[in-house]
Amino acid sequence: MKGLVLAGGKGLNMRPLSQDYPKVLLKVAGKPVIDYVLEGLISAGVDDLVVVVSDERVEEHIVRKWGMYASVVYQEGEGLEAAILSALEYFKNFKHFVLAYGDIIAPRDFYKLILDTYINAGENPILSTVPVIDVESYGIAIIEGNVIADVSHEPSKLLKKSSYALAGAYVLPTKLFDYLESNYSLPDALSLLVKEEKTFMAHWTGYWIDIGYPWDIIAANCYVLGNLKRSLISSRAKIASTAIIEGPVIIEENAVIDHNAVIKGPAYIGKGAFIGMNTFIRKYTSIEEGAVVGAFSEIKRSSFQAESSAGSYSLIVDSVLGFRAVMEPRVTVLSALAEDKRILRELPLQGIIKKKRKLGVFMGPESRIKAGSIIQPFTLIDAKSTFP
Amino acid sequence: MNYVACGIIGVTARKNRGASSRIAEIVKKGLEKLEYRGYDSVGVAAIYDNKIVVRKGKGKLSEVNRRVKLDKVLGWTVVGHTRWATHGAPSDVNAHPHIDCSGRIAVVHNGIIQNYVELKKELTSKGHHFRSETDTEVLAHLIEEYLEEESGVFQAFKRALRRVKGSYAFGVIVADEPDKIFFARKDSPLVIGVGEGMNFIASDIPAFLEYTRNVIIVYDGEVGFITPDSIYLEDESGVPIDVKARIRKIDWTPDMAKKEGYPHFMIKEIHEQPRALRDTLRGLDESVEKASELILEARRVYFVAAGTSYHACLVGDYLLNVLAGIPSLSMISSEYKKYRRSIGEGDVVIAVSQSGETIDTLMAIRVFKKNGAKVISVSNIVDSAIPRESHYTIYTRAGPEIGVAATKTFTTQLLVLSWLSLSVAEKMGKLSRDKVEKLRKELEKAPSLVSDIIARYEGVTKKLGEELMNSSNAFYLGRGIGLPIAMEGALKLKEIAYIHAEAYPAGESKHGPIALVEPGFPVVFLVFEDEWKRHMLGNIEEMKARGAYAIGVIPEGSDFIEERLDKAIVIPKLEPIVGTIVYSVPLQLIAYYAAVAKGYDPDKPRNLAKTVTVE
Repeated sequence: MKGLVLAGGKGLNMRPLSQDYPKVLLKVAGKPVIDYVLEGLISAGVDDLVVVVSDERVEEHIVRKWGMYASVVYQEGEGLEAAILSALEYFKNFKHFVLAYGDIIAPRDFYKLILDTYINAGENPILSTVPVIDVESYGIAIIEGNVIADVSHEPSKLLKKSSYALAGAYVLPTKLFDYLESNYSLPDALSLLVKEEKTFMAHWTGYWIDIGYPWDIIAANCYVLGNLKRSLISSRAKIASTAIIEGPVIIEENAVIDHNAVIKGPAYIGKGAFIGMNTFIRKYTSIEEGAVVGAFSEIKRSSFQAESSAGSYSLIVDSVLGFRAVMEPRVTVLSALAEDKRILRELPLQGIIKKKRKLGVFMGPESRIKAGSIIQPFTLIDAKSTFP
Repeated sequence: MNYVACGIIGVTARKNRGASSRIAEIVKKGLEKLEYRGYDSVGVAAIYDNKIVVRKGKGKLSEVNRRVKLDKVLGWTVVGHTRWATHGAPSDVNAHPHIDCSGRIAVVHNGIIQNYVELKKELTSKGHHFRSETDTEVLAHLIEEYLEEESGVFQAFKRALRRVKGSYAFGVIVADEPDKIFFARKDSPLVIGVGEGMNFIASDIPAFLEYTRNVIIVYDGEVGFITPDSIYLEDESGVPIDVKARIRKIDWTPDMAKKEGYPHFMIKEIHEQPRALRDTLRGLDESVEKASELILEARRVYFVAAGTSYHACLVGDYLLNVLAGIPSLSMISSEYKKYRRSIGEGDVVIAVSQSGETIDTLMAIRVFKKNGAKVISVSNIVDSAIPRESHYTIYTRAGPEIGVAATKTFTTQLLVLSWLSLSVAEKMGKLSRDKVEKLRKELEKAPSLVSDIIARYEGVTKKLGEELMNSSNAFYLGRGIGLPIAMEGALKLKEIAYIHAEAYPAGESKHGPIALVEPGFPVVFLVFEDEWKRHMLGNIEEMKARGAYAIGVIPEGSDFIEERLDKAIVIPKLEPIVGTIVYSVPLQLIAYYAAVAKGYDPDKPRNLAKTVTVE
């Protein structure tokens, strides 16, 4: 089966993490976001892929890692519709194709469910759906039985009726390209499609995150790490004899865990990452490739993107440090949000006992926080800037 | 007949492919995989030595196989069928395959032939002799009729198809052409499996997935035949289709195929509830009247059941007391011996069992019946053991339920028992005709109400399920008719998410259970639009004061309650009699999503079986 993967675009809601950095290359538990999509598709038998990109770094990654399965096309023009049309020539001679968004984190079974449903439904179009609490931030599906009755991107009309978000992977007839060429928007084209052809739903009930906002990286780490069943520790990681490692963890080769460091999994420590002496790494934390955590620090539910670093004596909670971001020593991050602060897409595993919603700092690539700073909850720091 | 799901399979192989009974074994294995489509009767037909042999019978595959040895039939061309009847009793004669007068043609069918009455009349007048009451048999006789006029079986088969109106997936074997299986599809699923020296047809891919992963999906209107080495397929207008171009390679785990776009049977069955309720409403017949007359004459009325069905009994028992003023009582069937001397002549026992085979319930009604009591049963399986031993049976029409946790069978049981209580209350003169009509109208809204609640709240219940995943305990509190629903909600959470959950009458919670509540302890409150609404607020307050995480299913317009809750699921204002059905649904979803979040398979809870047939 042939598939089209959308991996271009600017990721505006993802700022500052996406400032001069392609969103689909942000890492979750050791893998770029796009890899979750490609692995899922290939494992479901969609192994002839065209990836639409708008950044050389994404092209380079796809060619290097997925060259066997995927060709790369550069996006011409703005918007989803233009992105899809950029790949038109690859799909002309086919009846159906898979359209997948490059920024979805879900288990492989998600893609399998879609392809299974497609084959079993006698090759009708398939739209995947997922129940969510904040449906207004997604495309919305109205269902009747297991058939998609309508699709809309105008929440006001459908909000009270449906909690089903379109889940970002579909099997579609290639006539979708014709609709888009006649200037239909993608939502309108899908809406037209479900009226013309009986379109079945593939109803996904497991974990699913659309990486749209910076804190979605934290949510994705929680789910992916939360589903770790066992530990994997490279024989080439250097772990001090006095370090304590609990719960499921992945520790990659050449990672260094210094004396008295405590890691309470589930957690991920990437290739060549450094965990300083007496540092405490708590649940749902990913320290990606080449990142550094200085001595005597405490890290909870945070993501250190590749080559980012934090100096000694830091407290970092509910935060994401972008590519090569630097936190100087003795930085303290506060994260409890005021009760009336409204944030789309709440984080998982919150609000059970004390019902506090928490978000820390989100640092753009190559940004810097000065030593000794105290960072207020929900702080965004632009790429390459210095704070304060 | 408005809802029929059956499964068909056909295999034809070269004679050098092993022993002559091997194909029957493959067909039997395939039928096992298709049992989810129906399991009230089963059969096979094979061609051996240019004769057709049929073996079939009523009952589950394993029982029928024990009786007639389906898997020992000889032959290299074999078709099989597993049936699910909702109207017309399943019986040995009505089981598929069906044959013509000469016994040279055998047919298996999934679907409905709408014009079978006319066709049957026409064929009977031409001298055909019918054995069964099924619609399917007409096709065998039609083919027989046209075989005389047409050159070859395929032509005769196609001509017969042109006479048939309705939906179908057919598999046909004819002794004259012993290495072929003829097939056609219209509005019922059919797939072809392409093997080596062996080809397959089936209702669903898992039936043959063990033998080949190369599959052709047959489209509506297409017709053709398979031989051990070839496949012929043509479209509606008779144009041959390039078969090779249609072959797909399937790479999946077999059990995912039959779930129609859902990852688990349980969520599929939760979503099927609107249809199950609608079919149950349509299927209500004179048995309700007869049962209610029996109840009117009764000295005393008892309900007996186990598990989820017991919770349905508690609702039925509540309604009989409250609406009809009949002092009925519910018992758990394994505890029936308590009543073995007290229930007898003049009493009515209402037994509720999804499968109709629950052993404790069956034992209980046998004893009570022997004592002289009359038995009414509520079951989802036509003509199963408990209905057979009852004076009257009211059927739920929920269709096969595969998930071990009862969902659609519970809500349809509630519907049936509510309908029955209304009939009794009306006959007793305790409710006016107008009031009864009004409440029946409310019950008729259940399918659309359930459909709305699922669509609207599945997102919230998913979130709640994920939150509960980290709890090891939960309370479910309700009052009045809400109590049995709380009990069912707690049972669901226990049985599939393995979270210890207890239900209490809300007023009872301060007599002990509240001692366990500490900050973050989840408590689910069921608040109905009834006399207990204000009392429930008090219960919420006392739990909140101890730091409970308060989740409520509450009626619209109860802002004063909603603002005290941590999470609220707001249901339209409903008569409690239909509220029971609607309130059950979010509780099913919460349990489902808690199980999924914890990484468990909700369809196969540990230590539990669908039907408990051992005491």
